[in-house]
Amino acid sequence: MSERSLTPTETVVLNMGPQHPSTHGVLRLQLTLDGEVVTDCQPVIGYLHRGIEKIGEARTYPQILPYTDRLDYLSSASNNLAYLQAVEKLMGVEVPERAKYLRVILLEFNRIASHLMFVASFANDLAATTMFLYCLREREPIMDLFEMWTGARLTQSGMRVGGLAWDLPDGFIEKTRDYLKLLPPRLAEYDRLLSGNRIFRVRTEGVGILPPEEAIDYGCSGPTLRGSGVSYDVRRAEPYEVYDQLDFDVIAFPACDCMARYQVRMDEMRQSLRIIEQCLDRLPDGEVIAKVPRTIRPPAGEAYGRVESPRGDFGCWVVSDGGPQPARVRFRAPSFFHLAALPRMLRGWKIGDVVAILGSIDTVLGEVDR
Amino acid sequence: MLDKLKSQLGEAIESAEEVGRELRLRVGAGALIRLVQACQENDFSYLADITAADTGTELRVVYRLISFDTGQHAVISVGVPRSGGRLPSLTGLYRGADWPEREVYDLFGVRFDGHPNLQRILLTDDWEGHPLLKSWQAK
Amino acid sequence: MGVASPSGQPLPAVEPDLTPTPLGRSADVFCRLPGGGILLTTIDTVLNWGRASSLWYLTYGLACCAIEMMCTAASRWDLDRFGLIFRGTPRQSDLMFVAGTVSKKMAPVLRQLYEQMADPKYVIAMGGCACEGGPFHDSYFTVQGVDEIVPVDIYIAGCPPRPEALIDGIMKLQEKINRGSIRCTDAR
Repeated sequence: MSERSLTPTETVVLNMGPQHPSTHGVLRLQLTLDGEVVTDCQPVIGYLHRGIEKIGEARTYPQILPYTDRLDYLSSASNNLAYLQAVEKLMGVEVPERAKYLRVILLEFNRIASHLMFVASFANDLAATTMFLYCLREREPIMDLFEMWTGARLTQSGMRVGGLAWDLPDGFIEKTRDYLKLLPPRLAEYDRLLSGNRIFRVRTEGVGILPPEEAIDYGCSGPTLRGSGVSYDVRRAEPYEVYDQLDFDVIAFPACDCMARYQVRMDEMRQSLRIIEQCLDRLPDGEVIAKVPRTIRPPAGEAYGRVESPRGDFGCWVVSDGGPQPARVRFRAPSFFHLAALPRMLRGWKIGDVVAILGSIDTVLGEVDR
Repeated sequence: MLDKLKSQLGEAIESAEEVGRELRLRVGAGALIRLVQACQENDFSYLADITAADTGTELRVVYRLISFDTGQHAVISVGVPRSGGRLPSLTGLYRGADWPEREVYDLFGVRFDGHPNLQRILLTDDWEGHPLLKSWQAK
Repeated sequence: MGVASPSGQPLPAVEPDLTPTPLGRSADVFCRLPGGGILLTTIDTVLNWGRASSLWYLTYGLACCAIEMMCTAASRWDLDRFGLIFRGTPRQSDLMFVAGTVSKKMAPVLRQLYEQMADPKYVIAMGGCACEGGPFHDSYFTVQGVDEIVPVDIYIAGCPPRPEALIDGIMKLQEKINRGSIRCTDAR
């Protein structure tokens, strides 16, 4: 006679969020629990829906740029670039070589900052609070660099149609090279503290499996997909800016669990440092912005810009009717699709694993809800 | 690839052009599932996005499928009326179609037949109207 | 007074709430006793010092401002040295940072969290979105300023505000608390 037949129980619906320290934003999860095991999960989103796509139809093209910052606010430059790629394709603008390299530097610094925030909050959720303080300490020099260059720490809007708003300020390259020396030993320290830590490993290894075929079927991308062994990176598949000339590895781990997704991001930070160093070495002189008309009026048509954001495949679809404001601007957010895959990843795991699995897919609700 | 799809579907494809890496196809609602299945058979295994645009005369629902092997995007447009539009759901073909279809329903009012859970996803459940329509007015 | 809203109309002046609390009424009686006034001031000083120096905050981090709030709480601009500790539940917090845009879907949740906090409680509206709608002032789904839902003590402008601005706002809140008294809700 099993113990289950002695004490008949019912499933419990537990509400997690929308205000919760570990949901990384305003996400609500309705978890159906059988004892401690999650049998179903209904994510409820929309708590940060700001109507950015509708607002975009009432703004001019340059005015939409600051709104793109606030979508995936942990890596503003990726959103900026996806939008600007679409606009530049519509207008047929050719971005100067120097601007391309500088854009890549901005993007990769955004990637490192975002992944540091991921490690900080992921470890914090698993009660390794020290990592939160360490990673944010490492993130501060990057914020300083952004502020030197664009004036803003988080939502930079450093790019413009045709290139960038400003060239590098004095002292930027020296500070960047200092940072390139600073970070690798710190990352090694995190490996010693966290990746080999027994409790961390038990909580993340084998937890939250997402098989690769299902990951592709759900539309997952970025580290969530590469943590399932699929080596797909938009920077290699559809190279933009100067990524086709740069030497870097696409990191994928076959384990399909939270640990794999975490390791992908840790190694991606190291690859980003490689990319930044190559860009600094090869940086040509020249203009940082192409000649564009004062009023941006792309000819009627549509275009799609696609970048590899730290979360995955971020796309922006712009439909122009020839006027100064777009007819439609649509943002394809990777976290939206990852959250749709979350119920699949949570089913069968215990309530204590929910935080680990949700943290490992690194969602940002700003881009989910738009 | 464009010719291959054209030969498989014939006249069901209303218009087709190749722009860069995009294969822009337009079909009617009746031929949508057949075209998407044909794309799936030709390795378009990744559903990148389902969205819609209000052109003023109709709602253009746009599906974007990407092939990891060739790098091509199949951009399939279907026209539906601005109110009361119905389309077959792709949830049987792609698991990832679930949420974007709910979003198109929420913001544009297009219904997807066969969808397991067609409810509002971003707005509140008691919201009236579909805001991304050009005719939508804030009260 | 002297401040105009975006539409150009002068905003109504906000009068401080000087209605005596029940404790305040007994305090007034107590003050008439010899030495009572000095004791009351001492009690006020001690209570205000306790409240201002140990503001446990509920991070109501909604959007981008939440990241700057996390940075302020972290290594470089440590909020713990001001006595501010993050609590995940409103039941254990005195202060609510509304950091980010409040959507119409989130508004009832915000009100519920505010109601769940115990008195004395304070609200800081951080960032343009929480102050008056920010860049989303004409959106169909955002609340134009969190003071439509909860009373706000301090407004911090910025998009997002720098960590120094956030600390400045907290210190202004501490000054405001130190001006308080058990006699009435808002003392000057």
